[in-house]
Amino acid sequence: MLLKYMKLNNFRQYKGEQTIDFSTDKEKNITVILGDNTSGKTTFVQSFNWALYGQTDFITKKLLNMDIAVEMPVNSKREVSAELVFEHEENQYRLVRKVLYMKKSNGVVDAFGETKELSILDKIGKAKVVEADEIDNVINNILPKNLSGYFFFDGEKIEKISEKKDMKDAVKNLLGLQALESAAKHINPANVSTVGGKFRGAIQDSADGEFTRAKKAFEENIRKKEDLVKEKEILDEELQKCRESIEEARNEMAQYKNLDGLRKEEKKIKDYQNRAKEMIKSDKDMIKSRISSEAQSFFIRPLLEKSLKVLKREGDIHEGIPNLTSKSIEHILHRGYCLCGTKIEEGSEVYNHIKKEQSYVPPQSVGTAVRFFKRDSEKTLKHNNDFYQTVESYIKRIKEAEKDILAWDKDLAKIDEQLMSGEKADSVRRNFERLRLNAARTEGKIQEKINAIGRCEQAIEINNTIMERNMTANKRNQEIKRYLDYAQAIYTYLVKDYEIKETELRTALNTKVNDLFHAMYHGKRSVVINKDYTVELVVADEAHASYEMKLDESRGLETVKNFAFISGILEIAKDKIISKNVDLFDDEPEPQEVLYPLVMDAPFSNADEKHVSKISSVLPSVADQVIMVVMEKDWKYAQDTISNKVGKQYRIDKKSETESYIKGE
Amino acid sequence: MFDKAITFKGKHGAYVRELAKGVQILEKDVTIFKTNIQVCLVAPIIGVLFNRRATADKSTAEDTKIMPETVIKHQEDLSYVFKVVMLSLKDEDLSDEKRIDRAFRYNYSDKVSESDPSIEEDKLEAMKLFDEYTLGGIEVLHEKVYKDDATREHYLENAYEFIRDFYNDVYAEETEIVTE
Repeated sequence: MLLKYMKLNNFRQYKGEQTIDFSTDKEKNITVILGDNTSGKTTFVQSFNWALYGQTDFITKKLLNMDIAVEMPVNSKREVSAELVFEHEENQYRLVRKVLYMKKSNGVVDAFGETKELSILDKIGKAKVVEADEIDNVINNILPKNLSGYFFFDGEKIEKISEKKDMKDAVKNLLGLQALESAAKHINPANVSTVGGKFRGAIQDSADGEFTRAKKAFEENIRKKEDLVKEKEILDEELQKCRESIEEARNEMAQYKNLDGLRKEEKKIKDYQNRAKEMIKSDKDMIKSRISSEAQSFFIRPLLEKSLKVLKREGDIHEGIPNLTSKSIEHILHRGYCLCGTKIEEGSEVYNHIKKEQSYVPPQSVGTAVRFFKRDSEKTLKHNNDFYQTVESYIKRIKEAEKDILAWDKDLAKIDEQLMSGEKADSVRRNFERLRLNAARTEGKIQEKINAIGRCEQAIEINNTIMERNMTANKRNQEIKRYLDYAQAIYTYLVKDYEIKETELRTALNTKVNDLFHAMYHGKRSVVINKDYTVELVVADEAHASYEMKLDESRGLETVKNFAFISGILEIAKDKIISKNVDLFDDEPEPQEVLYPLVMDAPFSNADEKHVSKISSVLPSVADQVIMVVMEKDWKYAQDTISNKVGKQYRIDKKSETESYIKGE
Repeated sequence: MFDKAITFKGKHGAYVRELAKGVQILEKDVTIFKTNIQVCLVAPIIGVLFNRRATADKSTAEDTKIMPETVIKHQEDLSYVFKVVMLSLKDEDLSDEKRIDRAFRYNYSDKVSESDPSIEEDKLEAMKLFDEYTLGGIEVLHEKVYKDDATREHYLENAYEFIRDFYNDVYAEETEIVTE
């Protein structure tokens, strides 16, 4: 299927008639449509769905352009149409789908009628018009509806493509396994409303009603078991999610380990600091004490030396009269006569002379004073003054301590940084514990379910035995039992076949995905799809073959992985379509060169520059024709890689909420 | 002498407070003496060593007082310092005899008044000189310790450097007395 052009008329925001020609060149097989969000990218991709199958995912189902709907007069009709022309196996197909809208007298615009036309032009130019009720078949043979999703992608789907549930459904779809599944379900002898169930219902009851009782119990337990199994599945999923979260939390915690150690360290350092600060304080105090008590004798030295020199030069100090004190003179003056007996009259010369002597007589005699002075001074001079050295050592110690404190401040700052993020660690750890608790509880519940299922199975078996015993009671019952046995065998066969095909497909998908993944991503990582459809990126270490590391995925890598899936599924879908159409009786089926397109909306939304260019480099090989709707900002990165593969380029010009136009560039 | 309160006025009062009692404004203790009286025991010596004299600053009302009881308690020490100052102050014209008179003979007690006015005059001169050297010494101490740094961050280091330099000048080599 090679798309040639799409012509839209009044389809949603595409007002009026707008045509897009797609590049059909083998080399330049990419058609680029640039458009920003809400410009109509998704609508454009949806238009294919509508044209081909008459269905859309829109929330509001009205297709008519809003402006037209508002402008049109009452009782008038307007048409919405999509015309898709494509080539397939040398034939040219022209598919037109139309819806007529009419504005009723109350102003409401409603769909009036839908029509579709399909005409085929073969390679020699002969035209054939397909009957209306045949059109769906023809289209489905070319591109089955249930597989169309793998050829028309919108952005969100790309993100979810590798999610377990969607993957499971994809495989089922691709295998066309629903039929197989339905068949098995239909026959399942264990169920109540199936073929097997009906057989069981036909068996005649024994006289004492034992068979009926057993059948009732049997069927009840079957139902109960079904319910329990469903419940267990839900719990299993919960547990799985919980376990994943636990792993995440565990990884987060690893970053924050040693929180306690850090806190201890912080306390230790703060203690050191405090002690150092205390020491500095006390040292400063000691210096002050020393200065207070010793500064005088420290500084006084040169003056003492000079003083003593002065005293020496003067020779023997005039002692004055030994032991003569001021008090003695006062006494003599007061009594009125001298030692020698001379009268001393106040104001007389004698009086004045003695008075003068008084000023030479301090409370102590001069000689004594001088003697004391000399003694004290010499003592001071002799004393080994370590004042300076002591102060120096205190100062040095203080400086060291201050330096240490600064260094510790730096350490504390570092620890603080780590601790801050460490507070988050506490909440991560609490979360971790909570999750663990949840997981344990869930495990408990699962175990309960397993036990209950076990009990049901036991009851089923017991009652089955009873039934079988009763079944062989008469000929008719025996016949029915044979039918039941057949049904069981067929069922078993179907289930096994399903499993085999499923594994085959899963493996094939895995291989194809990895092929493309490695084309885009050079490294040791590989994609692994597990039995339960969980997807992992693993690294196979060649040296230790059994050792695989699971790695975190960056968003860009995620997109690369998802893209690998798109292409893998697409290839398999293609194979399926081709093989389905191969004539079973053809001995030598010709290798079909069947082409298929890939229409994508925003494949790059979450990728970074590096990944965008990687994806771009493999894009042309993913499908025979690629139609890509992208945002300007993402195209910037892709452009360099694939501009030489772009056959046509368009831009969605959004004029308003209700008007967009696709313009060629 | 040394039996009454001692008062430091104006800037010298402020200096003494900073050196010994701490200036509240900075909220930091940048004192290097424990009490005011200790400043009195060191400042006169510093004044003589650096040959610095200063007169009282009457410009502001602030003053720092030392209680008479405290002064009397340290009377002997103060007298000793007085004697040293009188004997060693720099004055080439001053005779040794005069120095000794001032240091040992004069009776500075208030109760004693001189009949000889020249003696009285000299006594007053001696006391004046002592006060001036004290104030000068206070200025030198303040300069050396606080060095005009408003943060007073390095006051202790400055004090240490002052001590160190003095040590190197006086103690490290057995040289003649060096006074600035």
